[in-house]
Amino acid sequence: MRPLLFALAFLLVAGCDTLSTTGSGGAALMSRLDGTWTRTVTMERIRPDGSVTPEGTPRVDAYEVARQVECNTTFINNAGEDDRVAVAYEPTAPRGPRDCFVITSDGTASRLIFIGEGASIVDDVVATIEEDSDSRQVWAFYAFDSATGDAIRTLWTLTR
Amino acid sequence: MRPLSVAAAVLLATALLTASAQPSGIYVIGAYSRAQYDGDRLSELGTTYSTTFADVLVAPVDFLPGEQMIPSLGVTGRLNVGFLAGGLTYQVGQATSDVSSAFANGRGNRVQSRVRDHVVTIDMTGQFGPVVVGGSFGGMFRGVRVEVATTYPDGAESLGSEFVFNGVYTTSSPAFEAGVLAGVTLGDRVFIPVRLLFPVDVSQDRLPVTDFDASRNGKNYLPRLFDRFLADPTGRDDNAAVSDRDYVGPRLQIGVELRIL
Repeated sequence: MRPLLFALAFLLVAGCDTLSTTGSGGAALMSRLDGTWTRTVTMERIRPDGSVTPEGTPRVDAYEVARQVECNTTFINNAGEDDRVAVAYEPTAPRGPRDCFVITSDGTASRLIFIGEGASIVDDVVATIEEDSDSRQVWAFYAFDSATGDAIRTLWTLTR
Repeated sequence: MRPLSVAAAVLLATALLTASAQPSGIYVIGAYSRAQYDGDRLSELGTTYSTTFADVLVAPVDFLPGEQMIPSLGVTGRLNVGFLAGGLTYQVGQATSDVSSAFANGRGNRVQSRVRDHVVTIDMTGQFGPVVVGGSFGGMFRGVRVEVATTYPDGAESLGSEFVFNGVYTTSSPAFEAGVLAGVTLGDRVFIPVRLLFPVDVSQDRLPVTDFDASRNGKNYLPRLFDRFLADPTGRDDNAAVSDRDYVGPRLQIGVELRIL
């Protein structure tokens, strides 16, 4: 009888776990992102045969994620659990002009969404999360070189 | 459907040989359901996508299955009062699919779907010796998640915004169900139920399967008619979308219930 009771308990726990259809990964990811990071931006060219070669020179700057960020003399607030304000800046000029973004994610924390940062207000820019930990994040953005048909991958590697 | 029918016949034949009355109690249940969706509508994504990319696609694809086997686990309470009996069952089940397309340039798309059912069923049955027959009705909450990624020649996968098709699309497809149950008791601890359930639609409204977190060029619905999706600059052509009702259909289920209390 005892194994059957264990089986019943397992069923109930498994059932409760699957009641969530969206997950809470987005809020957990945002908590991991809070704070200041060193961002390294690199580019790669992916050719149709699968070969990958680096493009250009990596760029390094600072990247800050918070619920409230000072952005060019005003503060931007985002008090939600699933979203934050993010800003990149030159570490040597932290008070200089800044581009600020509202970022969010979905329940599985598989992608990072830069809200309204595309060609129009309803066009979000979405990055795929390649690595996700407290001390290291890698986000991939893809684009195309129409002249060659190659794909261009831009990687943001955040470390601290 | 044939393997399920054969399995049902074998189980019922075995049960009839060792049958007895069905006692009241708490049962755990493991079951398989053959769930049918609106296959005609779901298959349109694959056909219109394959037509749109016919010149560069290595082979046609069918991204969204029209029917699936859904394994499930659950708990049943049964109360037997003489000839009549009632049962209340909760089950959770899940099925997945994973289909990829390939273009001549090494890129492609990968479409992974997951259907997760939470089902509450009430049985009202009569017992004729070891054979139990009656009706079943209840409610289902079916969560659907479809993840569309672009694949690259180096093996990388992107959920990014470089293509409007990429996204994580979800919907909930609740439905009432009604149908029939037939089963056989095995000893005083085992019951083999077979249910045939049909959806009872109380609304004909169709809600698009949607990427609720990201929008690309205004579009955030999962396309059903891919050519219309591409030609929709404002993202308002919901009639070109896969909808929540496309995932509602009849179910044939066979299970094994084991009495634990």
